[in-house]
Amino acid sequence: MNKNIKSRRAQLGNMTMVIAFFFLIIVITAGIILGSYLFFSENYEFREVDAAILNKNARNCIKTQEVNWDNNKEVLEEEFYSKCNINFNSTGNSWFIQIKDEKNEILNLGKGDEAQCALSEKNPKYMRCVDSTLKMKIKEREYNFIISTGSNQLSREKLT
Amino acid sequence: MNKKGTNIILDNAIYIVLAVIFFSMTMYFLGNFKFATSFYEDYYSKEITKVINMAKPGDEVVLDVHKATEIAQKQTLGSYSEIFQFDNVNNEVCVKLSKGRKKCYSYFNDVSIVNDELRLADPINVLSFKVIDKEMEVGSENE
Repeated sequence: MNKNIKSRRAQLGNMTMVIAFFFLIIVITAGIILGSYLFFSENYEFREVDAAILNKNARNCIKTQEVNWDNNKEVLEEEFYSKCNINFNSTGNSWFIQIKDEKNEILNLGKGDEAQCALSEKNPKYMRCVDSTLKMKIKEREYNFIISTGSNQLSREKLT
Repeated sequence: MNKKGTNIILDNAIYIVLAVIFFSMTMYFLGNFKFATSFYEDYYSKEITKVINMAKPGDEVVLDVHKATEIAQKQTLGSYSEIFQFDNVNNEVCVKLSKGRKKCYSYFNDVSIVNDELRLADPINVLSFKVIDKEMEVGSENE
C-alpha cells in the first residue's frame, strides 16, 4: 500500500518536470526571438518621404489644376481627389492632407491632425508630416495656401 | 519492466517533441533575418511605391532589382515572377523574397501598373513596368 502511494508521488513529480521544462524552453525561445527582433527588425523609415511626395503632388495639383475652392467641403473633397489623382481608399487611415488659406481650413482629407504632426518629434510612432506654403491668385482672389501632409504608413507582412 | 521502459520513452518523447516544436518556431522566425530578406522586402516595396507616387500616367519605369533577385535565388524562391506583385485594385506593391510571406506597401497616386516584367541579365536584372490612368485600364479590359 505504502509502496503504491510512494510510486504515484514519484510519477507526479516526474510529470511536474514537464511544466518546468516547458517554462524553460519558452523563456529560451522568447529570449532568442526577442533579442533578434530588437536587433534586426528596424524598419526602413519612409513615412517622411511619403509625406513629402504627397505634399509635392498636392502642391503641383493646386498650381496646375483649376480646383474650385468655393465649393462646399464634400464637393471639394471629390474634386480634389479626382483632379489631383489621389486615392486614399487602400489605406485611408495612413495619410492625411490639410489645406488652409491663412488660418482657415479649406480641406481635410484622410486621418490625422496637426497635433499628431507636432508630437512626432517626441514619439517616433506618430505620423510624420511635411508643410509647405503657396501664394496664388485665383479669380482675382489672393490665396495663401498652407499645405500640410502626413503619413503613418508601415509595410504590411502577409502570409502567402 | 516493459511498462517502465515504455513510460521512460514516452516521457522523453514529450520532451523531444516540445523541444523540436520550439526550435522550429525559432528557426522559422530567424529565417526572416537570413540574408536581410525582411529588410530588402521592406526596402524594395517602399522604393517602388515612391517611384509610382512620383510617376505620371504614360511613364515607363525600369528599375535595377539585381540584389532582390540574388536574395530570392539564395532563398530558393523558385519562380522569379512571384517577387514583385502589383495590386491595381488596392493600389499596393508586394515584394516576396522568401517562401511563405511577402511585404506590401500602398501608393496614393491613383494609377494602374501594367506590363510589369522582370528582365534577367539585361545586362543586370531589371524590373520594368508602365504607369497608366485607372480609367485607361478599365477601358483596355473592356476591349
